[in-house]
Amino acid sequence: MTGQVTLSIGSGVEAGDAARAEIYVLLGTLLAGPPDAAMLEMLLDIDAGEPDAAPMTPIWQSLQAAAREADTERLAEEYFNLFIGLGRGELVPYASFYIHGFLMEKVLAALRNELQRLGLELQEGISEPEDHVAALCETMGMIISESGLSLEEQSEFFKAYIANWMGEFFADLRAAESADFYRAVAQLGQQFLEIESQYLSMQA
Amino acid sequence: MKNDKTRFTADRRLFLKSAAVAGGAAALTAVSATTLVDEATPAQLPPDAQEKSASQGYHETQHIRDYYRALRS
Repeated sequence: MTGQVTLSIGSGVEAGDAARAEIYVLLGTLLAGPPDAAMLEMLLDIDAGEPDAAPMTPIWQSLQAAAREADTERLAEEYFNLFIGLGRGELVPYASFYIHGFLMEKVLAALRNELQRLGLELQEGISEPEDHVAALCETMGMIISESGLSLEEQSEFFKAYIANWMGEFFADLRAAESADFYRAVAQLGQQFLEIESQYLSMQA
Repeated sequence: MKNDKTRFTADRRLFLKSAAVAGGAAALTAVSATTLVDEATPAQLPPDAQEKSASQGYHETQHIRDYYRALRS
């Protein structure tokens, strides 16, 4: 992770869409690698809202509690055990694996075609395939904030590459033996996908 | 989030980039005047992106308000 990025709301997309994109980017960043100290600090800076005010409030609070307790060395170990492991991690965070039971399957081929249509490609030096959970979260964030795709088209992408497996992935992550900090990330993912699913289905 | 601006000490694009030659009408703009910009200001954006930003503007519909309330209260 390099450089510093400023997230700004409301400069070109509607505030609700900006919030959606932010959360996808946040999930993507947390799932791409273990958070460093600055990332943990950023999590603590999120305004979780008033208690009982919204379904996401307790989720943000749990994430902040986990960030407060977290230690970067232990986080690196937790991330390794969950997603990398010796041979393989406790979880296999790819759409192909969840949908087909194997890596590099049909859904990845379809996703690559879709990304090409959208004018997106993998950065140089990235060895992870595009159906990695973090890459898909990042893609959805970019689609919302930059593509100009309608909500209906966003919904199509969501249904084809996210809704059909990522909820199960977050459920597995929440239940994973090695998960501690990432249990709170899983809760955020589960709740957010549920809201996204309802929101996007309203557009259909 | 607490403010309009939240710091991420991470590169937003960890995996993907816009292709050198974008294909199709739905291709992403290389730089756009949207959220999550890498320290860019409207003045730094290409004219077409600025025009896009200005034309999109901000209007909050009821479902966006509902969504936003659900997320952040």
